[in-house]
Amino acid sequence: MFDNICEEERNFPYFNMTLKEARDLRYLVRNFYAFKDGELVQMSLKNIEGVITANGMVFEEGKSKTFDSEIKYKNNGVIFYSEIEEIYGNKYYSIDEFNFQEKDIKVSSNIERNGKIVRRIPYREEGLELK
Amino acid sequence: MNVLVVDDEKLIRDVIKEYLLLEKMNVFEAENGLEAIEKVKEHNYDIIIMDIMMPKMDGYTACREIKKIKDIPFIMLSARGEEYDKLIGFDLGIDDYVTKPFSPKELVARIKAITKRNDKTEDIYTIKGIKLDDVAHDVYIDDKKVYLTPKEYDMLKYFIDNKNIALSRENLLSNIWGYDFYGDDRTIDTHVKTLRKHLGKYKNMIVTVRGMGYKFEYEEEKN
Repeated sequence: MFDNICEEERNFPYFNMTLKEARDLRYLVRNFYAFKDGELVQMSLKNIEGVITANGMVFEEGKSKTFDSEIKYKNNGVIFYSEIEEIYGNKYYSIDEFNFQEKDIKVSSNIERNGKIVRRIPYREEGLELK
Repeated sequence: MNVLVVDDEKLIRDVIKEYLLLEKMNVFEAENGLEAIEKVKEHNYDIIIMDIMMPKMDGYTACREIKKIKDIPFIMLSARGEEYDKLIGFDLGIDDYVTKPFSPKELVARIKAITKRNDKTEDIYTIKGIKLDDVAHDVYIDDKKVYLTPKEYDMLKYFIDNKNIALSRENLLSNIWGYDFYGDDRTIDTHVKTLRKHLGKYKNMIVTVRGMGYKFEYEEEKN
């Protein structure tokens, strides 16, 4: 996707974490249920004294959105608490929980007013360091 | 408003375009600095949003070349930590920077602020047959000059600035006469009455909001 690291870091900057961790988290964000029809365009990741946050935007024809997330690691997984704002101003909360299992990742997405959706996604081709 | 978005990443152009279209702006795209220069030669844009790092020609070089052709406001999309670049940019006459990853809403707000700053026609308000020239302090009704007192003028301008908003008498008093003014509701009513007279056939645009105050009602004409 990127020609070089510089280009990657311009659109997906990260602070106080390794490139691998940033890439892992980015992979998980791409797999939010709310973003299933969109494409992650930009995202910033920050780790400030152990509090990890992300914000960015997703392109989806007619439904582009921005988001702010707080990220918490747990045993064998990661949870994202996100506030998502659609282009027309509609805001909602989404909790996406990723559980690292033997062969794949179980994703439980709780989207405000839409209930819970459980899916399974493969690991990143390069492997997931967070596991 | 015509906006030229210059970025080599299509997705970024797409997402910016979506947000600008929502604001009824006309969006044009270029993939790099060279293409932007060609477009500027042929078309008129009110503002250019340009990425700094692009293939073929970077944003700064493109900006320098474009400024030789036309004086168009620029917003640059920069990455965090490009402080040194900012200095070069302000030297080039760049109006603003937005750091990636940016909030599209913030970008829209900055575009509006910059274009408003550069819009020399914004001092003339035209609503139906009412024309208020805020530079000359003149008011015309159907192209005929009318002579308003300073307070009537201020009131008309305040109504236009706040069109379709119900304004209480206290609000009008404090914003037109100032907080220190010692007056009552009759001051407002008297001025509204004389202002309505000046507006002639447009007098009904100032609507009385019972129990509250007044509203300048105007429905935008649709294309």
